[in-house]
Amino acid sequence: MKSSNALTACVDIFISPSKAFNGLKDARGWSWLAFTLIAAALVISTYVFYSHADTQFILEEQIAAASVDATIGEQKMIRQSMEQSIDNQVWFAIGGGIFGLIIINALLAGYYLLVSKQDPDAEYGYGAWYGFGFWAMMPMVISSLGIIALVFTATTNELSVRLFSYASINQLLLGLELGHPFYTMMESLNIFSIWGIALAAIGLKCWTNFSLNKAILFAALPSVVIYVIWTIIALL
Amino acid sequence: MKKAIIIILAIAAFVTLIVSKQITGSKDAPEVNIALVEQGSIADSIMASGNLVFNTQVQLRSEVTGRVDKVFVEEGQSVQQGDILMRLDTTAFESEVTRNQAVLRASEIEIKHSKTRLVNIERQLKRQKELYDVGLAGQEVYENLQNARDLAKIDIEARVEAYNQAKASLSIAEDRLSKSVFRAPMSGLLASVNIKEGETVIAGTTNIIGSDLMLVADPSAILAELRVDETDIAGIKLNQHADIYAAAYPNQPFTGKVINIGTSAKNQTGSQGLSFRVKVLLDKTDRQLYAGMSCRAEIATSIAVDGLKLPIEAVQKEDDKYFVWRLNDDNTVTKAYVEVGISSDIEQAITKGLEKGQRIVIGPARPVSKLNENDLVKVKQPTAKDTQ
Repeated sequence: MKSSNALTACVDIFISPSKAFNGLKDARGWSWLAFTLIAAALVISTYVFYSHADTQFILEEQIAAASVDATIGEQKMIRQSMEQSIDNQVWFAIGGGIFGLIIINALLAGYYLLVSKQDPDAEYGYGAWYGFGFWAMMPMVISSLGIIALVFTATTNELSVRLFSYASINQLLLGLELGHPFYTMMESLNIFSIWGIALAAIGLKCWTNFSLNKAILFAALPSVVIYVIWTIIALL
Repeated sequence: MKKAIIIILAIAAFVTLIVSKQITGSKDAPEVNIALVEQGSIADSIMASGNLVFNTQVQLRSEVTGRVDKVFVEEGQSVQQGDILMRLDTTAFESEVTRNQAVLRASEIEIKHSKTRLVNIERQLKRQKELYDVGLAGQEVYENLQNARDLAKIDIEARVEAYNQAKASLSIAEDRLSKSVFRAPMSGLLASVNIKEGETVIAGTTNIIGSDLMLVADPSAILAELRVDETDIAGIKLNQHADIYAAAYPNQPFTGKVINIGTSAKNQTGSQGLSFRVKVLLDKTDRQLYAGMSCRAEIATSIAVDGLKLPIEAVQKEDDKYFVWRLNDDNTVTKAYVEVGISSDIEQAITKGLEKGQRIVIGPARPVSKLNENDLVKVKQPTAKDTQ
């Protein structure tokens, strides 16, 4: 079974991902839609957040976060530099987000290409894996919709940038405070990235002859490596 | 079917997540500080900084170059007008006078000599004329003598001028001799003595300013020389009252009056701004002040007598209009547009829009900036008058 067109694939990727990946095998052009959706969701959610949030509040919050160990002179310098850039922060966030998306997916595509060599039957080029990567990131669209919903239903404009990681393991389960060694790591690990790993595993299984376990291993490996290194650094 | 249930559960979980994360603002009424509209006078003032100087002071410099032979005074000593302060080595100046006196005497002698010669020629001329008249002498001899007499007269005139010249030179030498002795130009205090025996003083010329020797000052009157920024200068008038805070007495101001306002702006060292020099004469005081001390001043430029006033932070601006947040009896706030008068650094006069005794929100700035009409607020620190 496979999706019949790009639009149905966009729905299938969430409810029956294998259909979407099977369809994608023959229609690489669909990936443009996935990229467009992810990028649009990112741009819109970021813009909505910054246009609703009180920039002064964000500024204060960021200064407080950046100047935990700073002297008064350093705090002053941090404040000056941040005040200059606060108005352009939305554009940095959007530009950085899209740029990061493209770069990270490029690395992942290389990684997928490499692991696919384990299967002699898999004959997908770099471009195919690049498109594959975007489909595995589709949960980001749901994540962005959540951000937009949170911003629009908020009753105050004192929005914290922590809102972007509303589905993180830290905010859902752990509740670590800023300054804790694992705080940043747990804020970055969220259910949508786990969902993305699951999608990648399903996708790998559809596109190659890997067993389910092997597919899960290869899909999770980049994140596992990163988080293990991060944990070691955090513990040092 | 099973899949549909999972999907529905996932959507429900997502919605629950969003709802549970719902961001709510603080519902509590913001805490604000208030102040009462009061009646009183406001003095608008201009701040300036500067230095203290003596009202009358004379800087002694040398007109002649020479080595210091003797200094008779010390710094801080009181002197009377005419007292000898110091003396240069006078040997060279005295020799110069002696030489000029000799030149003058030589000139006198030469005049005498010329006059004697003239008398002699005139006598010869008279004799020759008598001989010539009777035909015993030649015309040529007679005319030569006439000529010699005229030359002798001219020679005397030249000698007289040389004498005058020598006399003038003597005066100059005597003047230089007298200038090698320094006397106090006025009675007062020696605020500084910058010269020691054995040092050489240099006379001032067009391009070189002469050596600073001493500063004689009248300590009874002290001025504050202030640098007033060009943007403030329009408000400064003669006789305005000023409070002067010297660094040595930071909390006890000296009082004074503006006695002089500079007419041209000067570049302030260390900044790009232009400033005017304003002099404030300090009233008599028992406290010791020294010239050169730094000071800052508050010059009262205008005074609003007996009007309504508020702390300046209470007044906010919306486009071209000013307003304040008035606290109602039920602790809600109402925006009240006001007209403002003069302001000082801390107070603002209100000419229209408020009445005495009304309670006005003055801060903190952040919650105040978010207030809306009829918002409920909590009063943080009731003023003493509020609790009475």
